[in-house]
Amino acid sequence: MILKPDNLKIICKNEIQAGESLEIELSSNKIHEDLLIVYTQMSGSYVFPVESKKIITDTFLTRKSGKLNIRLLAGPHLLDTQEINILPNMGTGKIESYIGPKSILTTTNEPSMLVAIPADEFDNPVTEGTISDFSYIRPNYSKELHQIRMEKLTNHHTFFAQTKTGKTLAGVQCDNGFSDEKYVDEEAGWPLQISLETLPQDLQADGKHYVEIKTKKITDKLGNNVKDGTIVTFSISDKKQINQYSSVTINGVAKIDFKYPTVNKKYEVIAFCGNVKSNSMSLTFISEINDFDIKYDQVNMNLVIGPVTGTLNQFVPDGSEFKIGVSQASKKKIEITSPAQDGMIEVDLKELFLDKKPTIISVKYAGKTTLRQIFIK
Amino acid sequence: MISVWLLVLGNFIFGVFRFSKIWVDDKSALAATMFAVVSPTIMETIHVFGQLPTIAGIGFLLHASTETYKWIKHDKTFYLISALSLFAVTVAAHHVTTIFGMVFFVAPVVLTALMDRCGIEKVELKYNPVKTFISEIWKFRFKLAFFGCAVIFLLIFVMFPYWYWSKTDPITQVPIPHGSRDSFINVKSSGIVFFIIPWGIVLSLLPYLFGRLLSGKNFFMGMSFSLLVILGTGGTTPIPKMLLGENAFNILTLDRFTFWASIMAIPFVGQFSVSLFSGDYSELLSKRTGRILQKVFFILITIYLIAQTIFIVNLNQFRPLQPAQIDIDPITRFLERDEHYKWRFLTLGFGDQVAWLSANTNAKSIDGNYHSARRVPELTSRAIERLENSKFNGVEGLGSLQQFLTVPEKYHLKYIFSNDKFYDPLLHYAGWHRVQRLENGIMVWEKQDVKGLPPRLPQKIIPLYQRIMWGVLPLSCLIIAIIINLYLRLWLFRIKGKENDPSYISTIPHAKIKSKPSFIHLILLLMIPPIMFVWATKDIFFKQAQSHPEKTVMWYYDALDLKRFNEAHSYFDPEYGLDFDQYILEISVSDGMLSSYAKLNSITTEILEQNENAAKILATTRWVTPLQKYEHKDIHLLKKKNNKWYLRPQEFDISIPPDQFISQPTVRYFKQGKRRVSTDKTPHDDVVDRPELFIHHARVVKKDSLISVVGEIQNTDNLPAHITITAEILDSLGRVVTRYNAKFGVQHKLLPKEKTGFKIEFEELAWREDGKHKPGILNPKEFNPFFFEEEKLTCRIFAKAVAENTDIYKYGNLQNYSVVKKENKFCVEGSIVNTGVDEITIPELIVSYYDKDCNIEWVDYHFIAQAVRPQREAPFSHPLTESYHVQTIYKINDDNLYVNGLQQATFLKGRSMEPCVGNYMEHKNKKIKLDLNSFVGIPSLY
Repeated sequence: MILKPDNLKIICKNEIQAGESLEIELSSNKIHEDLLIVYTQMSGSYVFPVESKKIITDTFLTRKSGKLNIRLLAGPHLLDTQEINILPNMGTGKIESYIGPKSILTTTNEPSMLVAIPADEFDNPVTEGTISDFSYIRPNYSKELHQIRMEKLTNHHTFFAQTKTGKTLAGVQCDNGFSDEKYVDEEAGWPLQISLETLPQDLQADGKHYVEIKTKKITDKLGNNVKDGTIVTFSISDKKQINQYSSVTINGVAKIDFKYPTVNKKYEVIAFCGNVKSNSMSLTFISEINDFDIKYDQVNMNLVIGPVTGTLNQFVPDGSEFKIGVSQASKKKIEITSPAQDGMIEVDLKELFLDKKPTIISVKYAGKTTLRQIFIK
Repeated sequence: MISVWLLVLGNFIFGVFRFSKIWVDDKSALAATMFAVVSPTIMETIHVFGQLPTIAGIGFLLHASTETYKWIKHDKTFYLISALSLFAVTVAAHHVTTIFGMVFFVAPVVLTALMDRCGIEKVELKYNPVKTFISEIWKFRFKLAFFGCAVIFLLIFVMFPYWYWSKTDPITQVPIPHGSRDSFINVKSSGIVFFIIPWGIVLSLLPYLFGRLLSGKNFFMGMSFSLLVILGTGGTTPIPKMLLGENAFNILTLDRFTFWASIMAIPFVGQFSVSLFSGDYSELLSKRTGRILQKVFFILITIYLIAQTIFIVNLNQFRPLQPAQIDIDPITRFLERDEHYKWRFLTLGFGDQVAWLSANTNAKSIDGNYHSARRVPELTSRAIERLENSKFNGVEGLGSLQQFLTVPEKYHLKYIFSNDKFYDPLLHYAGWHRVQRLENGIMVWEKQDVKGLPPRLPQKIIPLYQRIMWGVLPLSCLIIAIIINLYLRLWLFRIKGKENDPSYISTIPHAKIKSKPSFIHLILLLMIPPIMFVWATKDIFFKQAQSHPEKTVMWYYDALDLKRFNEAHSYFDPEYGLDFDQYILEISVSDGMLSSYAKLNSITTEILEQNENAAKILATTRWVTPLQKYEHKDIHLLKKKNNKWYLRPQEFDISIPPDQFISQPTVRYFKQGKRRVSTDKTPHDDVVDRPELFIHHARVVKKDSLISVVGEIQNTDNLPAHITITAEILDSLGRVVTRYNAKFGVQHKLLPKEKTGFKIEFEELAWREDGKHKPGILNPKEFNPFFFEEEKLTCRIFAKAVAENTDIYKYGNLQNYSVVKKENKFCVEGSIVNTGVDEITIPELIVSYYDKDCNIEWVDYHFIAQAVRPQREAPFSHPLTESYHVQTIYKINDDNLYVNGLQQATFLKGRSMEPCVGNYMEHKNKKIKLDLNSFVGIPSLY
């Protein structure tokens, strides 16, 4: 049976710095062999036998800041208890820091937050109230410095998007501790409006070439170009058909190459980006095809159409589709499509299984229709 | 590996020799052994199928059968021990061989041995009456019973862990089609692989074999042989199904029966060959044809044998059944790098090499070789062998694969290694993107935003004793069998002096052949091989493809499907002047779904008009593509010249783009990933924020009894986004009924400020918990819809995005589109123009339908078959869905919309989005919007 020793007390400091060695003295020289000293921290408890009146604690017990509870035990009897406050040292090394969101919009004055946790060499957050310097370089190249006090183990600072797009760079310093460089992209907001550049008129409807349609610079309400890669959709339509082309902005401008039609057209052009649409522009095409011949080779039952030429007396583009109608009395009209090559179109009528009677041939292209009557023998 | 094969083959050949001596004399047994080396069935099993356990199993079974015969014949305990030891090894090598071997091999051997016992007791060798035979069986009954029980005990004991596992975790796999169950007349390719080739020249000896086997002492073996032959015919007749029962018929592969029958025939083939070259048949042939023709006959038979051998050994060269060898090192390095092994992977187009890859990496795959062992409901409920060759399983296989690709997060599936570009469009449109091409040519595909495997995976605890049994018993059986059959036998015979004991002499007396040789057998031997050859190759050499216009069209499409362009070109009318070089060039630039990613499923033809020299044929072709089934109609004009029908070549687009050299200003993206080269986890600074999204509206709708979720979503961020949209349907009690991701009905990649409609179609089995769902009825349809039991449903939508930097091509444009009326249906028709610098291999049209207030009502998607090269056009036509077909069940409110894990309503901060801003088309008081999604098969990057 272990008797409780009388009046044995712990004598030590109330506060030490992290990593400092702690000297503990007992009030009496009578060291019982069953005496134990117990250190309790957040990380756990450590038990050591007491061998002498003076006890020097190992520094590993005092690395972590916070409360260190010391108990003196004689078997089951608690003789004394003391609480030591371990204080963090000054900030040093790399400061753990986070920033986010990593992109913010200028137009809505969006916030982002830089958070830093300065710590000493034992990874203890520095003392509450310690000041850290939060430094920024904004997109307009202005510098800012904010001194932030440590509160509840972190330092944090909220900053807001300015009016110019670009990078905001940030860094934190606390005592001898420094953070990595952080950055936030301040980006353009939603497009405010879109305008189209003037379009050429009365273009040749050759069904081959492309005309460039482009916007003026698309900006947000603060005048910043929308981000590269923003999609812009162009609608080029007349009353019957719609053309829809897409492109992306580069330096705020989007452009497309619109394919010429083959017939006379008057289009209305509008562009859409985000939730805005542009002014409407007109775009006109004129088709000018010279008259062409339709010849019939009775022996080979072959139709030869052409040469078909345009305004420059050039052949119509290879692959231009001609609609050929073949009508015979008391028979359903046959419609075939045949491409032009070198300005000429050939149709083998043997493949159409026609009757031997008069036949009307109609050839339609670029809004122009030519008729010819032939006799199938 | 080669040494193992040689040992196994050596064991098999020796087994054939010993087994043959039960039935034929020594000389014939030797001839049989030589024939076994070039036996077509063995060559096919080794060189084509590579089935090592089967050969090992049958080898040991033949030895075991011989020992069993000797035990019964001489009643010596040593042979019983030897036989049982060999049976144990057979079980360990291939348990199915033991199970069926007992019936087909051992039973006839036992009965034959009992017959021989009766014969040996009497001075003359003649067959005993039935009464004597039965009394012999009765005398031996206890020993036979013991023998049977011992074999059954071995079968259970050696493989006990397997039986235990099968019983406690039964196989739920639905039957997987196999060519051996086909009708060999209807499916010629199956007939060739599973009947003609394994029998080979022996097929012409079947009358002789039946004559020999069904007579005299061979009678029981003959019955077994006949049964095996019939069972090996698969679905050609209904008999195998009747005999085996529906279940066994659908589970077993029936080629094993042909294999065993042909093994059983080997001794008698040996006997025939001895007779042919130096016995009765030789005399008969010489008498009837003369010595010169006799020699010609021998030469022809030798030629048949050599040709057969060369053909079978090189079959994989003529018709490769496996892809070329893949170097797996780059793949294993990829998996080991950067903790990629923390996710599951899948291979496509690897063939059997998937097993070799799995054996060389610790990373886990969702797929595997052993079909009976799998537990994933998406696989067990579908009749497909493996996901990795799902294209060969038609719509069934592709449907199963699609489920994995659409909801890969369920299985933590993140990486796919693709060796077959057939699957590329499916991967792209299911939301996967290309990461890199490895040094071995394999393309790595990745799915963003999939969580890794949990650190602890569920594991079935196998009892320790079973693990010990599984590790120790099979090899121990082999060692014991070697000790008994080699060392103990040597001790008995040499040391104990048993070599003079007649019961240990291996000579077995044989009954003389009573039947006379038949000249018909020789004629059949000469004629049947060429007849078989003609039958097998008539579609290649004798098809008379151009004898009829419809035949010409069908063989033309067949040639196109198999990429035999020379043959396809030969069907064209030379009058049109399309030479082969021009034709091949036109083919090479024609890309798209039908040209590059389709397999012809069926073709029907209809004659529209025909006279003596001209015809107009309507060909309807049905294609299976990775995305959908296609039906294509083409009208072909044909002319007859010199009694052959020729096709008019189809017109090729001769339009020329305006520019020779194109430049395209563009924005490209690059994601650094971890900027510091380190094996540590990605630091916070290197994680790109999730792009912000906005779901404009969404609703649950019903069309044709199927429930879908449709909506519209916009990328409101300044980063390009890869989006995943999940819809969760809840019942009236708030329980999740089902959950599925948007598959084809959405643009997975959105540029900043881009909008897309989306549709989520719910499929069966995607979210059933393991073990709680029994596989349903086999559904051959590609899409296996989920049927909701109640109508009071609510829905939650989860949309998440990650920054995307690859496979974004937005240079496809829509030209001249409008709504037209065709055959009483409204369609939207127009064309696609490509103003970029890459070819759009497979364009997809997403058609969104809105009410007059721009609330989305329905979404369609449509894949265009033709590719669009830069500065060129391709037409499209899509039938519109009428709004009365679609019924809204539930409009999803903002509280049930989640973006990047947060409720949309909470972070909107009063931001409102203007509806109805966009390019809409009016149709019947509704609005329609078209969006184009593009898949670039060969981007400039790769």
